[in-house]
Amino acid sequence: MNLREFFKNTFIGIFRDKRKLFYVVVLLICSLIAFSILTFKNNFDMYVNETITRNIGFRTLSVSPKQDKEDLGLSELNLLEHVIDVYSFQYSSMSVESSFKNENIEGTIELLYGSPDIQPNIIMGRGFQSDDSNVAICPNIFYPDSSAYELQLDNKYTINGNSLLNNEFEVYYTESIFDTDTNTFEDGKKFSEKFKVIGVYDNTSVMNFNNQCYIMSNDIKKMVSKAGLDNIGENSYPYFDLVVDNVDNIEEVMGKIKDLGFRKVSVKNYFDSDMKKTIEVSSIIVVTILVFLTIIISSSYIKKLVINDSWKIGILKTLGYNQMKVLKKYFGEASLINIIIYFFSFLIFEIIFLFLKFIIFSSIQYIGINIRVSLFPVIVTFIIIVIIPLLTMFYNIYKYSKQNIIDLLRKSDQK
Amino acid sequence: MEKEKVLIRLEHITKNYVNKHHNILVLDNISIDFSKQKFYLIIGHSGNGKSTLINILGLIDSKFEGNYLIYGNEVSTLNNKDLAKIRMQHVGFIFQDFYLDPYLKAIENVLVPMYINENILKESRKSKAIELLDKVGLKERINHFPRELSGGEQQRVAIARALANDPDIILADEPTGNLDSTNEKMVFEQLKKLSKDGKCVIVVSHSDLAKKYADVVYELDDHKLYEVKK
Ligand SMILES: Nc1ncnc2c1ncn2[C@@H]1O[C@H](COP(=O)(O)OP(=O)(O)O)[C@@H](O)[C@H]1O
Ligand SMILES: [Mg+2]
Repeated sequence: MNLREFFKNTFIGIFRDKRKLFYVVVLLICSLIAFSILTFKNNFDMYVNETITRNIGFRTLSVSPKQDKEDLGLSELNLLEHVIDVYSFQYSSMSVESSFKNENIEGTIELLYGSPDIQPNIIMGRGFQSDDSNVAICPNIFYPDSSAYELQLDNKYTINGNSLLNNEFEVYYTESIFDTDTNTFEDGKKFSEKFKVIGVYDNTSVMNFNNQCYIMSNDIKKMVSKAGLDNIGENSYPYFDLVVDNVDNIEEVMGKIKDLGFRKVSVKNYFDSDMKKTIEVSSIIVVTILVFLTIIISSSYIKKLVINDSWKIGILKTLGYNQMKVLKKYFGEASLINIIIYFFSFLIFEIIFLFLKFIIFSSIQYIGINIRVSLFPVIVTFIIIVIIPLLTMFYNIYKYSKQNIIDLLRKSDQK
Repeated sequence: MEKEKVLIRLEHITKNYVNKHHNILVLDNISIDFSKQKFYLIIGHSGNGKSTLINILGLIDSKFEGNYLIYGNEVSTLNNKDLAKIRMQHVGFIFQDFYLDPYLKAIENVLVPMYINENILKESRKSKAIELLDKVGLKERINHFPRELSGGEQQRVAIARALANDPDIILADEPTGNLDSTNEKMVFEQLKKLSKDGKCVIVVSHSDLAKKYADVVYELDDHKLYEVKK
């Protein structure tokens, strides 16, 4: 039998034999489920690894001060293992006007607390060094306007961050003075600072807005103080922002902080690690179920095909097929059917996926989620849908192909 | 009996079915030759061992004592692969239950044995299958599934399939056991024609009709074969 006849006969078999068609449909559904679950899990993992863990907010804790201590507990916190930096929350960011202002954009920039240890992945230029000052790291697609917070960029007026490299810009801010008589803030002195862009980062991959630039901690502390923004009143004490070296160490550090007697500790950008576990566990459960399901389905399929119809093997052997040829015929057909199922489901999955990506996923790409199909689900699904069933089937076919003809024919006489 | 016409020679064949509790003697020291161009009929009471004998002849049972020569090959020296090859080239087997693949059309059933025969060109398989079905009077039914054919027609498809690789030995175990007398006659006529064409046809049957077609009749009784005068 040549390859064309083999393909033709296999296809004909699927459409004539309801058992085969049923098998194809059921396994196709399993395959689609496997593709979907594994792609989801895979993308979630990538999202966690590439986005969450690189966004500093997910490893920044907010800690209540100890009011009875002179330094409010700062030195205790600084001594903890895995702690990179601790500072009053007022220094974490500051919104300013800038020299980028023109008739189309407001020029509003948000400056973020940075240091050699607290900075995003640089895609061009360089990162912070400890003796830097008046330097900034800005987004590659830079949009100095408050509408960046609504993720509404007017593409005509975005600035290519790379073109800013080594250029200076200026920011403007005003001192605000609290008038205790009227209980209002009043404008005081006006200040300006110059910053040189030394590096460019991809803000969407860390879920930052397109107008957020990092500057050195000393610069932002100085500016916040000059503007009077760290003056929060007589009997108030500032919370601390505490940066942990790694997302995985957050639980441990939080525990230690509580042990030290700080009353409130929370993660600034809270990421639900229970959700991560739930997704992990449920995808393992689903995959395990699928593995067992395909074993059961494929072995009951082959049982019907080989064991219930063992007389067919008996006849093949009577007609001169030896064990090898029987094995080749049945296993070859099973392999082809499973590979067809695999490719067909991959095709269906890919079409649905591209459709969804076009319709739905495009809207979430802005916030750093870029859903894609990678090798992981493709390989694991292949193992579940092709390798495991074929091993199961090979075992059964082999067992029956070596039986003697009289037994093979007699078994089906009895049914 | 002319020597060169002998295709099958049994010498002192003894067959016991052995299991834990029993040892059933079925064939006892049978020696016999079967030749080309003859129609042999084997009769005997149910349970006398006719199927056992024809299974041995058809190389689908190789557990027996004695010597079996087929085309000059001593069966006991052959491995499973060699036996399969001899079955493919030289033996056509017909069963009472037809054993056609229900998911294959008549012509496709006939093609099954041809796929493994390198001597039949790929291009000529189909025409050969049609020719065979024509020979058994089913030219109009080549694209029918077994369920669309009568019992007699199904058995004729099975005969065409048995002839697919042009064997010289045709074995049939109660081929008309499931057929009415009209179809029975047709099947025996086919088999007779084959023996006239030069094949060695060995048929096990209860049918009285079969005796009319047979050249030689044997009765299997008391574990031995006796020639019956017609
Ligand atoms: N596989 C087997 N195991 C044990 N005994 C068997 C087996 N096959 C057949 N027999 C016995 O051998 C005898 C001959 O059976 P068989 O050749 O089928 O007879 P027939 O075809 O003449 O009716 C019977 O008694 C039967 O019970
Ligand atoms: Mg019998």
